[in-house]
Amino acid sequence: MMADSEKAVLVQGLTKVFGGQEVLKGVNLEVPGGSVFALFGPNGAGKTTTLKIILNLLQPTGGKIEVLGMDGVARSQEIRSKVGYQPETPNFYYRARVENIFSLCRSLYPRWNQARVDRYCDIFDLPVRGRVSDLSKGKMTLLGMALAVGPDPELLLLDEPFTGLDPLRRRQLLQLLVEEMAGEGRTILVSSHQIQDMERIADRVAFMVRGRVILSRTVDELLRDEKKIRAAFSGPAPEGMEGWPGVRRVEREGSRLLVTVSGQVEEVAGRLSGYDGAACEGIDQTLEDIFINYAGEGLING
Amino acid sequence: MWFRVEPGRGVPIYIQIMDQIRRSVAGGTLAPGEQLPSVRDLALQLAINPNTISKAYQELEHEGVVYTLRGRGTFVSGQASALSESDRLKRLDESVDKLLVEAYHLGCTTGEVLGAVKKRIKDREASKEGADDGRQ
Repeated sequence: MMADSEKAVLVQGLTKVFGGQEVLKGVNLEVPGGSVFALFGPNGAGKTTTLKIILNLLQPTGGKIEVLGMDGVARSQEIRSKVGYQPETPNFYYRARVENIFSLCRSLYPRWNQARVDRYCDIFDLPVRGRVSDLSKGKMTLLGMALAVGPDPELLLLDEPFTGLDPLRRRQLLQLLVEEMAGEGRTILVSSHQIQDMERIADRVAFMVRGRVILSRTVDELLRDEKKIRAAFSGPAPEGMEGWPGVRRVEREGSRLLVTVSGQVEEVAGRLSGYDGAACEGIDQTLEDIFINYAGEGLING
Repeated sequence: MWFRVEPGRGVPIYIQIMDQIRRSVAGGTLAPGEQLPSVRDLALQLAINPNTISKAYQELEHEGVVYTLRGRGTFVSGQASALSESDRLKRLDESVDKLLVEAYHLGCTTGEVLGAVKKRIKDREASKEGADDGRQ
């Protein structure tokens, strides 16, 4: 196993051009070994493309990729044998039986661990003798998950692993992911829209918007540092607050101010309370609030 | 042991767990010397990152609420807080502020608030003594 300080995935200045359109515009990502890393972003932000390039299923246009300490392009074969990948839309042979897919994988991966796959199938109630084409959307997702852990991977790449799952299956999947990280310290990189599910298990999150990673922090840091402060004044409200250190945004609510702060929360609150008759309250933000703050241009404002 | 975990509350999950353990210790449902679940078991049961449980236990140990015996586990200490005086008073201020918001909206006088606080302290002491007698 790799030491915590090592990077399981290192992406620097990654670009990708599809048909003349730049879909990745210099992506930077550092996923520490042994961590659970959540990638959030609106549809079309480039999350799936980034994951595919990490596995070298797509060629990068420019930039550097290192996976488990190996060059992502030159040593892609070796990387693939150590990475479990759950694609967003699995590309199975629909007429095959589930067990036929297992035998195929066994022949492709030298370290294939069928006992683990069987355990996942058991927990997920997957019909091993059934045909892939008969699986529901949720079962298809779960089959993708069972296949992803088959190679006993050092790194799991999961693309929307909660698609089509009911609350019970979601909880089972979360528990299995906890098991994966508790037992052998695997690194897990997940792209997901399920911000609350990911908050349970993620050490770190990154927000991806229009082909760039705009923010990458630990979950605890984000919840600690990203706040809003509502302030009312009996005298005139402060001017030019946008220039204060730590202030990201200032909105007016009548005579009150709603200030979005990033870091330096106490400093901003202290400075505000120096104004005439100032009353301030701090407001916690959820991960989803924070994501929408950073990613949400084009929202409708009331 | 089960704790309520609410993602999407804007409060880090390790703090949510710390608050519940603190409350159970203060209320007597977790007794001094009692062992807390292992990090791994609790992480699995609640479906949250094991690092989050470790962090909650470490912070509680730092505060003196629990202690850890290497290789044996984490136990309720039942001692007074190990926090510095300024940290203790800061934490107390935050809780008093919440009480005062409620008191303001209920239109309580200062005397009513202080009286209620004193009464609750007495009630708690009485019920703890009762529980101790029961254990003996």
